[in-house]
Amino acid sequence: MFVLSDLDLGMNNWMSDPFPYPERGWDRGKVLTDEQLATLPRFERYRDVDGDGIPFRTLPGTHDPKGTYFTRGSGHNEAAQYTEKPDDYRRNMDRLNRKYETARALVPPPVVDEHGHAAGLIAYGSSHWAVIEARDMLRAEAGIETDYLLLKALPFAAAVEAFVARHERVHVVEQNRDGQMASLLKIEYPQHAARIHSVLHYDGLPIDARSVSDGIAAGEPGGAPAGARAVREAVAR
Amino acid sequence: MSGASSDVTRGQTRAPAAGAPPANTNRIGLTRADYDGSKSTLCPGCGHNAITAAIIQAAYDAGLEPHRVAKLSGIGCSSKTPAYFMSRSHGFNAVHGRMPSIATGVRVANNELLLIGVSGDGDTASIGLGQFCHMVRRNVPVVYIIENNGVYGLTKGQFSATADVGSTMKGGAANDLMPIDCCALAIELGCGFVARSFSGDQKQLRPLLRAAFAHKGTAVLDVISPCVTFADHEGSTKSYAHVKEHDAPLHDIEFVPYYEDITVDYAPGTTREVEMPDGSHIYLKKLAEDYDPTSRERALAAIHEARREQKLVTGLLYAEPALIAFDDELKLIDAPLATLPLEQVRPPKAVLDEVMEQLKTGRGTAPAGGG
Ligand SMILES: Cc1ncc(C[n+]2csc(CCOP(=O)(O)OP(=O)(O)O)c2C)c(N)n1
Ligand code: SF4
Ligand SMILES: [Mg+2]
Repeated sequence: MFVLSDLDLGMNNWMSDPFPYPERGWDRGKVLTDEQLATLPRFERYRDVDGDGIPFRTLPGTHDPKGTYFTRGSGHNEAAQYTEKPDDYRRNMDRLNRKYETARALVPPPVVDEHGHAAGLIAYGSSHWAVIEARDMLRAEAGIETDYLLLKALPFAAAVEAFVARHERVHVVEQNRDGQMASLLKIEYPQHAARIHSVLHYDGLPIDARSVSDGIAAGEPGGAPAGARAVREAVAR
Repeated sequence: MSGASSDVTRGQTRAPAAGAPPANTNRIGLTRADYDGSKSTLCPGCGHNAITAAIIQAAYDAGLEPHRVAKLSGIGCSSKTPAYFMSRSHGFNAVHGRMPSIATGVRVANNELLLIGVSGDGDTASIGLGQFCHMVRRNVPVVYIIENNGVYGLTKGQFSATADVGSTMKGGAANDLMPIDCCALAIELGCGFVARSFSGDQKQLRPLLRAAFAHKGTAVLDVISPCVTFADHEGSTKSYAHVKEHDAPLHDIEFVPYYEDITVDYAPGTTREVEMPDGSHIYLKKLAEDYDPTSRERALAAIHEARREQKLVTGLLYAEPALIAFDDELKLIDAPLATLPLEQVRPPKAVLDEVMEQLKTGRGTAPAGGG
């Protein structure tokens, strides 16, 4: 598991609500203890014994010699032994793919705010608050109603595809030049690629609601940026 | 630590007590084969294979418990070697140059493990230099072995950052960048155990390894280990021939572990003795001159003199066994953190509430960050 942060989160002070106390303690997953190992005829670190692509592991310090293994790159077989055999390698890659599929249902699910509108927004990380504010501005200034999905993790959960499929236009708001998340969505859901549009912010400053609302308005029927700007100026006056 | 003047008598190992381990086993009843790994896939004659053999022998002699050893490495031919020793131990092959981070984490998670790290000169002095420096200054307890051949063996023999000025590649091109001396660097950064050796000198390497096993902080062993495929030609300063010709050992080394009742007999002024925190002793028998391994200045001078005279100075360059241990500095508890039950590592709700309150009001002390 990799935890990602962005520069804006990392370098500036942010306000947030106090964190709630986690209801559950951590779960280390499929870890075998010495007692469990003792009951097993053998243990192989990368053997997918139950089909989810996630093999059991042991922790360093485990006493039973069956429980020790050598963690290395991808050139290993099920027993964690070095291998250059193509069949071993392919099996390992396929197993990792099963693990990736299993992970879809285990990673934090997206947060969806949906009311049956034609336009859907997708964002992640520190774009979130700018998107919240932009949705209010779009409603007030141009009468544009939007649904919103906040992505929390990769791989995409089933709810992400369902959200994309239900919206005529999906605006993916992100802070990079190339529309990287939009590209991932298009690769994952080629059948929906035509409805996915990018709203990008990459001028070196933290993202702001105005650039998000302008970008979305430009992609919405009757919501040309000039129009939005006129309404905004009228409101300001 | 004592000077060179004590006069004791060499004794015999105490007669084995009743219930002693059977013949051909070490003090914990394991055979030498129990310390083997899988078969090496390195080039025959590679210095790294000899270092693997020294590690196996030293671990057997020391009676290390395999399940209490974590073998760590980065990337390179050298970093492949943990697969070739102690297959009953835990192992982790990290990203190139990043083994020190993994080592730090392993040690914090389980302080009952002895960490044996194997790296290369590229892995340590080129891509991994930053990590190496911070591991040393934190004094993370790792027996950190640099298998130093002056080249990137795995990627076909480019110069690494330890290649000497004027040393040539197989095709004849000479290196003209200054070498990084990992021993000098380690001493400068406060390392409490710094040694240099040669893969071809098992007599020197094994006691150095055993002494390093007994050290409570980072122990750096820079072991010149010729690459027979890319750096063993005339013109390479890390070839077998060059190293043999220029090797200048500081002393003969003997290691006597705390559990062996041996006293060493030496004439006054001939031997220096270093006592390790566990009661083990290192005896350094003087060769050309009386070398004091407890002087940081002397150690750095020895390294610089050797470079000037184009010699390879080997032996225990510097020892300061009583440095503040990493575990103490972090205020680690005795039990390994990885084994604590959830109830013991999950602070109650009141603690989180208090932290939140402090953040809200700005009162209370935030923990100081370490560099
Ligand atoms: C991040 C990264 N950069 C570069 C490489 C390519 N690479 C593999 S091994 C190596 C050098 C290894 O040299 P050294 O540590 O001296 O090991 P040796 O093979 O000489 O024992 C390099 C540059 C890599 N594997 N990963
Ligand atoms: S290429 Fe050099 S360093 Fe690598 S295994 Fe062969 S001899 Fe050893
Ligand atoms: Mg090398």
